[in-house]
Amino acid sequence: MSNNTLRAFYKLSMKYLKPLVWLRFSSIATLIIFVFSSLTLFGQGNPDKGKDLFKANCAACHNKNMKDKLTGPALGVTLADWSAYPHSDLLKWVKNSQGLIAEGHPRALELWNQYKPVVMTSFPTLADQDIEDILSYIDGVAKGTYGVPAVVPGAATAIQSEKPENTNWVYWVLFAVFGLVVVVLSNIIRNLNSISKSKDQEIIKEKTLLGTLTSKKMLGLIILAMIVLGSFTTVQNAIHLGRQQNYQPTQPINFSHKIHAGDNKIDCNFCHDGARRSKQSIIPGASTCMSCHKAVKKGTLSGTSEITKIYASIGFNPLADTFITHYDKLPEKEVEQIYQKWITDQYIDASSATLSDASAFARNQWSDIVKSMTSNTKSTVKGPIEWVRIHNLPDHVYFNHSQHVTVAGLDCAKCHGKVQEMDVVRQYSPLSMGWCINCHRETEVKFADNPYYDSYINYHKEIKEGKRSKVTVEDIGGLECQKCHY
Amino acid sequence: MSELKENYWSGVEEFIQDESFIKQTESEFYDLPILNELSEGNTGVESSHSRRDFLKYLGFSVGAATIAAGCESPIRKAIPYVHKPDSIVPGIANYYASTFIKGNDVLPIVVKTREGRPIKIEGNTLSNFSNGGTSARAQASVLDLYDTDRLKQPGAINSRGSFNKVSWEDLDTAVMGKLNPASKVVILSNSICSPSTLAAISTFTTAYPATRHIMYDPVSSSAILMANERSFAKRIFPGYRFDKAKLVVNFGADFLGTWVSPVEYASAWVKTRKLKNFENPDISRLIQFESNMSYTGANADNRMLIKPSEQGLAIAKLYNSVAALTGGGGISVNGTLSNAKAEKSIASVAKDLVTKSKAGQATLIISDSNNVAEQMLINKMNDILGNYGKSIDLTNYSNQRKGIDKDIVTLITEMNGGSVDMVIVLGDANPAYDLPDAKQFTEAYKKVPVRITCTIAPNETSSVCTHSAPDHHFLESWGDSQPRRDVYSVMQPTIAPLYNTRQCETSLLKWAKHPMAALEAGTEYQTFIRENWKSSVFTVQKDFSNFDNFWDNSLHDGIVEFPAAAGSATVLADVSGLGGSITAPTKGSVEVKLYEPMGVGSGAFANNPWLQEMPDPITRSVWNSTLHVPIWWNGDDDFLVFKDFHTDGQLATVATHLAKIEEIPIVRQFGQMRETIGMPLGYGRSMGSPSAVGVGQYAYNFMTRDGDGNIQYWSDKVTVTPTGGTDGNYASVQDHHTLGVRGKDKSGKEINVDEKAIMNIGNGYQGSLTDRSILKSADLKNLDERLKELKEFRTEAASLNNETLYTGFDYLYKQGHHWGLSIDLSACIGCGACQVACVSENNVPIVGKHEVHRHHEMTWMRIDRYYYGDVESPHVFYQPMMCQHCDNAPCENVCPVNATNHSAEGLNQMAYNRCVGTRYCANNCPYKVRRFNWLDYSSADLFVHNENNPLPDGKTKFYEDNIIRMVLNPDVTVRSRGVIEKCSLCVQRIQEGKLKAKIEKRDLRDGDIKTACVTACPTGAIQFGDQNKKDGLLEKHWNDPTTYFVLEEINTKSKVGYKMKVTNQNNDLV
Repeated sequence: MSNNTLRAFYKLSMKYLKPLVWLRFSSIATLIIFVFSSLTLFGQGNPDKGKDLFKANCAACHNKNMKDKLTGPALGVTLADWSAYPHSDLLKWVKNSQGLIAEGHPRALELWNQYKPVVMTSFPTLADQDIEDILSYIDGVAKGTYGVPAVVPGAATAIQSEKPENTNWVYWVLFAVFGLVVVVLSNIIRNLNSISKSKDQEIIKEKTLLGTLTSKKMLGLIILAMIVLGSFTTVQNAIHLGRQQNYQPTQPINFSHKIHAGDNKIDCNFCHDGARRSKQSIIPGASTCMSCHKAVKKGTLSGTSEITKIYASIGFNPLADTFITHYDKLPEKEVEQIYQKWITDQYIDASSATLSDASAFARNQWSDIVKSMTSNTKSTVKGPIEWVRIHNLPDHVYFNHSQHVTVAGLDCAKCHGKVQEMDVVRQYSPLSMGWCINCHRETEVKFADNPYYDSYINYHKEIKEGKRSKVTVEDIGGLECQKCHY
Repeated sequence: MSELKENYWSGVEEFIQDESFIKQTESEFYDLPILNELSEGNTGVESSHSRRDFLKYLGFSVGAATIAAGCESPIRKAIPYVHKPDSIVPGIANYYASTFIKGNDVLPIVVKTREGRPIKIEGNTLSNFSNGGTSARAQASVLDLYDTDRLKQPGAINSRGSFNKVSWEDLDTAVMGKLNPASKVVILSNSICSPSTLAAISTFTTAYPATRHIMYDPVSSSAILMANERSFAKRIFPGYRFDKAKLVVNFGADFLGTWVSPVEYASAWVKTRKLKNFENPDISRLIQFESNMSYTGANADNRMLIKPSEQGLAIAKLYNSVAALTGGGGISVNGTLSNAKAEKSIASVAKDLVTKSKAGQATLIISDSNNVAEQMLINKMNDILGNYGKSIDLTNYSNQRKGIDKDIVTLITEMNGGSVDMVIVLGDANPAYDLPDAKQFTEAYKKVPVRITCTIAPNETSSVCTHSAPDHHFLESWGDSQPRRDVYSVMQPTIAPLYNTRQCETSLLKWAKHPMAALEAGTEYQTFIRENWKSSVFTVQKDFSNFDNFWDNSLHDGIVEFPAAAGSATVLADVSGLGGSITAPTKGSVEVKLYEPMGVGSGAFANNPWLQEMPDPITRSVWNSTLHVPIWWNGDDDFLVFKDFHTDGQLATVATHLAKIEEIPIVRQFGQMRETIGMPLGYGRSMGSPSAVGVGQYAYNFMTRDGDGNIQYWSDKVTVTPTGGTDGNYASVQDHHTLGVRGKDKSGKEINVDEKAIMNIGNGYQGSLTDRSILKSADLKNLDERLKELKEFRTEAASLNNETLYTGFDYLYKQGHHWGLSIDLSACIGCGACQVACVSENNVPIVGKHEVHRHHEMTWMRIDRYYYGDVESPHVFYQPMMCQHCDNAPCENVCPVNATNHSAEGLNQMAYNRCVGTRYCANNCPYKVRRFNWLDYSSADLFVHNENNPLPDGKTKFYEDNIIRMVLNPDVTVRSRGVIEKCSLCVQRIQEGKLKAKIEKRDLRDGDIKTACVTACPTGAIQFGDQNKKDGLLEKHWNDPTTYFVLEEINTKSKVGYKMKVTNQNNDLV
C-alpha cells in the first residue's frame, strides 16, 4: 500500500474514530474547564499563559517553587507584602523596578536595600495582562492550587476513565480461548480421521508423544519459529544500533553542570548561546569560560586541576592575570613552567606544603592535564578542547535548536533532562525517530501569538468556530519526512 | 522542409524517428548492449567476481556487521573554538559581498560561507551591472578554491624542470637580486579591470621604469579597440546597453553566452524581451548572422547562415544598404554570400534597422569580428543609425577588454632577440597555451632569463617558468574591479588562505619595494587598496564624507555604482576606402569557426569538474570537445550529412596547413552553415589538474593572425575526414531522459497516438493525445492565436481528467504554504548557471565521462534543448526541467516502501534512508527527473568497486579528499549508493526561510526563500513562490496568459508553471 492510500485510510478511520475519542474525553474537558475557572478567581490572569511567561522572563532569577530565594526573592512570599500598596505599583515595579526605587516608593526601597546591588531586570515590553497572568500563576503555585485538579464531586469517575486501560489481558484470554479451540478441533479431526481410516480397514498406528515431537512437521515448525524469532530479535536489535541513551562518557575536563547550571544557576543559553538562534546549540569556546574564570581561578571540587586546563587551552597566565601573546608559538617547555608554577603556588597557599612537595604535586597534576588535553590528533595542550560529543544524530537527520528553543519555547530539560543535577552529563533521551515523532504528535504549536501561522487559515477558522482546540506539530506537517530528512 | 515547421524536435535521432532512439525513450534506464559493455574494458565496475565471491562477500559483511554491532560506537568529538569569533555562529551561514574574477570574467557576487568556509556563490542583487545574475563559471568557481592541485607554496625551478619549495623571503631575494632600475621587465596578463591591481603594477613600473605591462586576451576584441581608436581616437571597448536596443543585429558575437560580459548583456537584453501587455505586445528583436550555432544564435529571432570568411562581406553589404537607405555613399565590395537566403536578407535587415532608427528607436549592431575595417564599418553604421549615446555608451566604457593582439607578436620577437630580462605572468594568463602561436611563444619565452608565474594552479605557462609565486584564489583575496567605468566592485577574502600562497599584487609591491610591502603579512595589499580608493573612488562619490564609512559601506554592498552618464558626441573617421580591407571571402573550401565554449571558456576553467560536466547548451556533450558538422534537409525526403557522418560521436580528423587533430568526435548540428564546421577552444590542456588534462582537443593552433596581428577565430581550407571509428565513451546528454516529444513522421502521419484508444473512445482522449504539452511557443505575429489555442488546450486538459487519487487533501493544500515555480521560457537563454548552482547547493556528485556515457549523470536539473521551425536554421527552445512536485505524483504511489511521498506544502519528498532502490518511481515519472545512485560518489563505500572515479585519470575519487569535501553544503545529506534522488525544491532553503519568519514572528514574504536556481539565473527566468499567497509572486506569474504546465493533460497537477517562448521574428527573413 502506498503512502497515499495509507493516508487516505488513516483519514477515513479517524473520521469515524474521532467522535468516539471525543466522547471519552469530553467529560475530562468539562473538568479541566472547571479547574481553570476556579483558578481564575485568584487573579485576573490566565495562569497557563503566566507559566510560559514566567519561564521565559522570571525563572532565571526567581525560584520556581515560589517559596525559596534565588538571585531574586521568593515571589510567593514577597508578593504578599505588596498588598498594602495599590496594585498598579506592583505592575510598575515589574516593568521598571529602578524607576520605582528612584521615585522613593517605600516597598521598592525596602526590597532594594535587601537585595542591592542586584538589579531586577526591567520588563517594559510586558503588557499589564501579561503581568496579571504571571501573578496568577505565582499565586497558584505559592498556594499549591495551580496544577492540582480540585476534587469536584461527580468528577471522580471522569478522572478514572482517563487512566490508560491495560487491555492486554483481553488478548491473552482470546489467545487462550483460541488455543483451546485449536487443540479441541485438531483432536476432533484426528479422531474422525482415525475413525474413517479404521473403517477403511487400515492399520492404525498411534503416534507416541515423542514420535509427534520428533516428527518432520514438528521439527520444521520449530525451526521456522526459531528463524522467525531470530529475525525478529535481529531486526529489533538492529533498529537500536547506534542509539546511545544514557551515554555518559568521560570528558577531558571534569566539568560539572551541577555546579554551573545547578548551584550557580547559570542559564543554559549563556554558554550554549547557539540554541536560541542556530541549528547547533554550540559547545562554548574557551573564551566563553574565561568570562567567569578570569576571576574564578579554583574549582570548588577540583582546585586548580580542571580550571588550569582552560588556561592552558587558551593561553591565560593566572599569575599575571594576562593572556599570553603569541601563545600558539610559545615553546611547550615554557607553557609547562607557567602552569606548574601556578599549581605549585596555589598548593603551597592552600596547604602550606614544602616547595618540593608542591612541585611534585604540580608535576603530577600537569601530566594528568597533558594526558586529558591531548589525543592522537592533538599533540599539545594548546588550542581547542576536544570534548566528547554525547548527543549524536545520524547524518541524514536535520535538527535545529532554534526551532525548538525560540519558536516552540521548549525547556532544555524536555530533551536533555535535569542537566543541572548531573555532575557528568549523560544522554537523557533516546534520540530515536519514534521519540521525536511522539513529541511532534503531542506538542501544541504556539499558534495564536505568532503571525507566521496566519497562513493556516483553516485551522484558525476551526479554532474560531470552536471545532478545534489545538494545533499540534503533526497538524502542520511535523511528521513529514522532509521536515527532518534532506 | 516547410512541412516540418510546426514540430519540435530534440535532435537528429528524434527528427528522423530513429527506431532505437524511440525504443530508448520508452524506458527510463538506458542499458548499453551487454557486449558493448563487456568489450569496453575500462569500465568503472569490474565484473570479474563470480557468484561464489558474492556469497563470500555476503558472509563477510554479515559477520563484519555482527562484530561491529558487538563493539562500541566510535567516539565522536565536539571541538569548539578557542576564541569564538563574534561574527561566526556555527550552523548559521554568513554572506559576504565580493567579486568573481577569473580569466576574463568579472562579476559582483555574494559568497555564502559556513563556519568560515565558502560553499556557494550567489548573485549580488544590489548591482545594476549584473542585475543579481551569475554565470555557470561564477557558480563553479568555489570549487576551484578547494582544487587539490593548486600551487601550494612558492617555488624555484630545479634541474628536473619542476619547482623546489622555497620560502617567500628566498623567492623575494632571488627575484629582487635580478632586478635593477634598467631591467627590461614585461608584466604579462589578460585584460585587467581592477584599478588597484593596475595601481600596484604601476608602482612596479615606477620602480623599474623599463617595465612594460602587456595585456592580451585569449578570445580578444583587439579589432574593436583599434577601430574605436581610429574612429574616435579612444582605444576603448564601448559600453553596450542592450536594454536600450529595440533591434540587435549581431555578426557572430556570442554576447549571451561568452562574449566579453555575458551576464551584464544577457540580464540587460532580457529586460527588453519580457512581454508586458498583451493588447499591444512589444519585445525587441535579435537578428544573428553566423556560421556556427552559438549560444546567442540559439536565442535569436532570425538566424542567417553565412560562412566565417563571408562575415566581412555581409557587414559591408549591410553597411551599403543602410547607407543607401539613409542617403549616404557606400563602399565598393565584390562578391555575393554563398547562402542566397542570407544575401537576400541584407536588404530586409537594413530596412528594419533604418525604419526603427527613423522612428526614434535605438538599434545596435555588433560583431565579434577581429578585423579593424569591419569594426569601423559597424561603428559607422551605428553612428548613421544614431545609436551612440543610446545603445552604445562611450563615456561609461567597458574595461573588460584591453588586449591588443599584435603586442604579443612584438613580444615574441623581442624575447627571441634577448632584449627581455624578466617576464612576470599574472593571474590566469596562459600564453603558452591560449595563443595561435603558443609554440613560438614558448620557444621564445624560454630564452628569457627570469620567468615568474603568479598563477594559482599549474598550467602550460607555469611549467616553463623559473620561479613560481602562486597567487591566492579570489575567495582568499582582497581586490577590486571596475568592469565598466561607472561600476566598481570590491573583493574581500572569505576564508584564510588554504596554502602558503600570496597575492600577486603583494608580490609586485614587495619587489617594487613599496613602503606598504613592509606591513604585516596579509595586510599589505588590503591597505594599498584602501589608500587607492581613498584617493580615487572616494573623491568621486558624493554620499559619504568619511572615508571609513564609505569603505565599510562599499565592502558591505560589494559594489559602488554611479548613475549612468549620457554618451559622448562622436567624431568618426571616413570609412569609404575600407572596401579593400575587409576579409575577402574564400570559395570552395571547408571553413572552421573556433568558439569559446560556455563551460571551460578559453581554457582557464578546464580545471573545474563541475564545468566539465555541465552539458554544453548547444551540443549537450560533456567532458569533451566536439566538432559541429552540418546536417541539412534535401528539401524533399531525406537528410544530407556532411562527409558520411551518420552518428554523433563518430571520430573525425581535422587539419589545416597549420594544425591537425587526429581524432575528435563529431556532433551533427542543425543550423550549421553548410561546408563549415565549428570547434571549441579551451580544451586539450596538457598541464593542469586531472580534470583538465586529456579532456578534448587543442584547437588554438587552428587560428591565424591578420595583417594587423589580430587573431582570426576561424580558418579556411580545412580538411575533415572520418576516421571510421567512434568515440566509445562519447558522452552527450541530449538523448538521455527524453520526454518523448514526438509528432508526425515524414509522411505526416501522427506517430504518438494510441490507436486503440482512438478506436475505443475517440480522438482527443487523454490516451490518444498527440499534442503533448511539453513545449509551447509563439511569435508576436501569431501570439493572439497561440494564446487562444493555449487557453482552449488548458480548458480541454482540465476537462479530460480532473480526478485525483488523493481526495480531501485540498483542505491541507489550501492553507499554510504550497510551493511552486514559474519559469519564463522566453527569458531562459540556456546558460546553465542554474544547473551548476544546483550541483553546488545540493551536493550533487559529478560522475565522469564514462558514467555520463552510460546515462548515469546525477544532475537534479537539466536544461532540455529542442529545435523548432526552419530545419535549415531552426529556433532553439531551452527548457529547464526538474522535479515538478506534482500534487498527483505518479512516482509516489508506486514506491513499495513509501520512500517518496507528499508533504502538505506540496513538496514531493524523498527520504533517502527509506529508499531501497527499486527505481519504480523513476520509471513512472513522466518528466524523467529522478536520478539513481548507481555507484558510490561520496567515497564512503566499504567496497572499492562501488566507488566512482570520475576524473579522466581514472584514479582521483572526487569527494575522497578532505579539502574538496569542504565545498559540501552541510545542510544537505550526501546520498549513498543505491538510492534515488531528485530536486527537493531546495527544501533546506525553504525550511531556513520559514524558520527565520517564525523567529521574527512575521508572515513569510515573497523573496524570503529563493532556491539555488532562482538566485543563479542571470535573466530572472526562474521564480519561486507560494501558491497560497494571495496577490503573491507566483499567483501573478501563473495567471499570466502565456503560462502552461508541462503534461497538464495527464493531470499530474505539476507545480512548475512554464511561460511559453515568444519570439519576434522579422517576417521578411523567414
